[in-house]
Amino acid sequence: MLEVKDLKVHFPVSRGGLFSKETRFVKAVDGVSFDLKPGETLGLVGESGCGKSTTARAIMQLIEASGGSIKLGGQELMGLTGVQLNKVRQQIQMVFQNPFSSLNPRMTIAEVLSEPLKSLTSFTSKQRLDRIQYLMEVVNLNPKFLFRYPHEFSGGQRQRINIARALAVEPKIVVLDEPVSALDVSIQAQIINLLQDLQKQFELSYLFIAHDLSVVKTLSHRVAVMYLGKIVEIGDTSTVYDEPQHPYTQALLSAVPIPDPKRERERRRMLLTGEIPSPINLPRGCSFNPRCPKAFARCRVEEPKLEPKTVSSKASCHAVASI
Amino acid sequence: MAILKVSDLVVEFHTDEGIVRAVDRLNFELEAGEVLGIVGESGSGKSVSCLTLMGLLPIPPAKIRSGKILFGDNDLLKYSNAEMRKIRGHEISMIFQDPFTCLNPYLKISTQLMEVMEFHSKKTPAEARRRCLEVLEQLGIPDPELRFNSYPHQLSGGLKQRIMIAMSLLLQPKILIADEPTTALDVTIQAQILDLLKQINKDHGTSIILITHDMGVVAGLCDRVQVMYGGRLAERGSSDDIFYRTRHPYTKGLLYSIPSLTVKPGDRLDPIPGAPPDLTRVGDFCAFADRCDFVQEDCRTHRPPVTQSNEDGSHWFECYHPVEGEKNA
Repeated sequence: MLEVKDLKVHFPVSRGGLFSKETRFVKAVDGVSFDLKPGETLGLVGESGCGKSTTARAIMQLIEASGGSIKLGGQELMGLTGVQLNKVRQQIQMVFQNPFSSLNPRMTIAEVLSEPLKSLTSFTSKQRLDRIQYLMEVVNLNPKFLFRYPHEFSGGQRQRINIARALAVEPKIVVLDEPVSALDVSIQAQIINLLQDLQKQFELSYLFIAHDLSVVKTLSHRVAVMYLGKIVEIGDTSTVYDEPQHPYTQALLSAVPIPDPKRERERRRMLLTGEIPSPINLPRGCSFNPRCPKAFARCRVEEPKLEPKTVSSKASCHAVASI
Repeated sequence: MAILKVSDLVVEFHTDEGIVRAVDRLNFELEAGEVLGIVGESGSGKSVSCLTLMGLLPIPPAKIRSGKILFGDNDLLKYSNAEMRKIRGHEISMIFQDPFTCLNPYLKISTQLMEVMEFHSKKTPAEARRRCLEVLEQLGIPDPELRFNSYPHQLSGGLKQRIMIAMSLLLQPKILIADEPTTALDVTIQAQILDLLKQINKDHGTSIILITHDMGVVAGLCDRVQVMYGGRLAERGSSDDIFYRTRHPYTKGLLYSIPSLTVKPGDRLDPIPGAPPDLTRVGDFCAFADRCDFVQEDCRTHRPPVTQSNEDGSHWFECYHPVEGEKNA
């Protein structure tokens, strides 16, 4: 349904003196490809700066991609403007991370929810009211609250409103950018369950972006792990979590704390040394090689390709045999 | 032996919406050399109680209504600002959640570390400098000399947090309070910092209070855990007590509602219904009553007493109708 091919987003950064003409680029997203099937959740995980949010924004056409292709149901989205872009936006909507800053404080909830209906549909005001009342019920909020302002709601309730807004125009795909990371743990579970229910009810596809690997595991059918602007491993959720192939995925999983003291005591961590290198100055070869425990000579000169490593996952690593 | 003893602490904030009782008759002790985890959601009073220990509460709007904080034989709440200043850093120090805002962006790391030494110790500048570099090296900061002469913006988040930890350890305090030290960091960096805290605790015998909302972090690091809710104690015990012999319904709810790597894709979580309480309205009844599956009449009329769960007095909970027995061991 959604097909992303070789997506690139490079931000120019000027380096050198004021009059220097030389421009260098931050390769925030550098050749990302994946597809999203109807009714499926694809989880996109990685640490800060890996390009997962930039990927989402490029798909939403909120920032301009530098190259590649994004197809929705066969239609190319790159370069669309005006009316055509609005048509696409009706099919693909987004929920943002911070429930406190993503709602206009001067608008009532009714106004917030009507906004996408006004700009993307030709509903009459009566139809709009019916629709927003229905939306409130869908996300388990009392329609009585429609004429209140965002500050009167808790973080969890605001995130429900954000979800309702995204669903207003009956999209097929919802891009969720860290939708639960700003919420308290007991509220996170409520929102995760709601997202699961809505997916079944409306046959939605989710592109789910998060840094919390446990949350991603709960929600996703497939997972893509990103590192420095590239997907390093992608596959079925159970395969990636149970048999991680790429050393970075292995390190990432072994760093996640487990809420079980006995297992924590017995566990051997695979600690990564060092920090993520600057995306302006990427290391040669595999960009993970300076931190990788398995790196050998080839990793420092040749960039690995994403290749099948198990029946249901692909990874880009020279140290793991392809099948 | 208890190194710190908090008894009957009540802290209120006077706001436009009314009086918020952020900490409500809290008792706890910190044993020498242990790692105590304080867990709770926002508004549970975990940070406020620790700011009170440090004498860092903004008064007003905050007001300490009652209580004692015994450090040795002395009540820290009776100390003047000048006296507290000698305690902070020397005896008790604190690291904060956000390493990005805790360092002054205009000053070099060296200036910020040396400031602590100049203020609190009688060392000569050369000795002080040597001590700073020694601590940076102990904390595994690569190329300490270079970082010492850097500005904060030249360092990554993980390194900044290491610098903050270094700053808090310069004077070898007996107690280190870490307020969500890894929440702002990525998981691979979080693992490094948690390992570091473990190592500090082992090598120097520093007692650590770790404030967090992450039950996974608690499981890996803490000897004892105190779960807080609505400014009060929910449950306190050894890590094993809390995870395997859970008594308080809130602790149970918390453990069931967190997604963990052991879930299977598509599994349903078991959330705690409702939202955390409005602290201006919590009266003399159980703060968790509205969200609790086990609620009965007495929960809504009286605040439950702190009750002992086992013989040796190490496991306590504040509940009339606790969860029984062993679970998910």
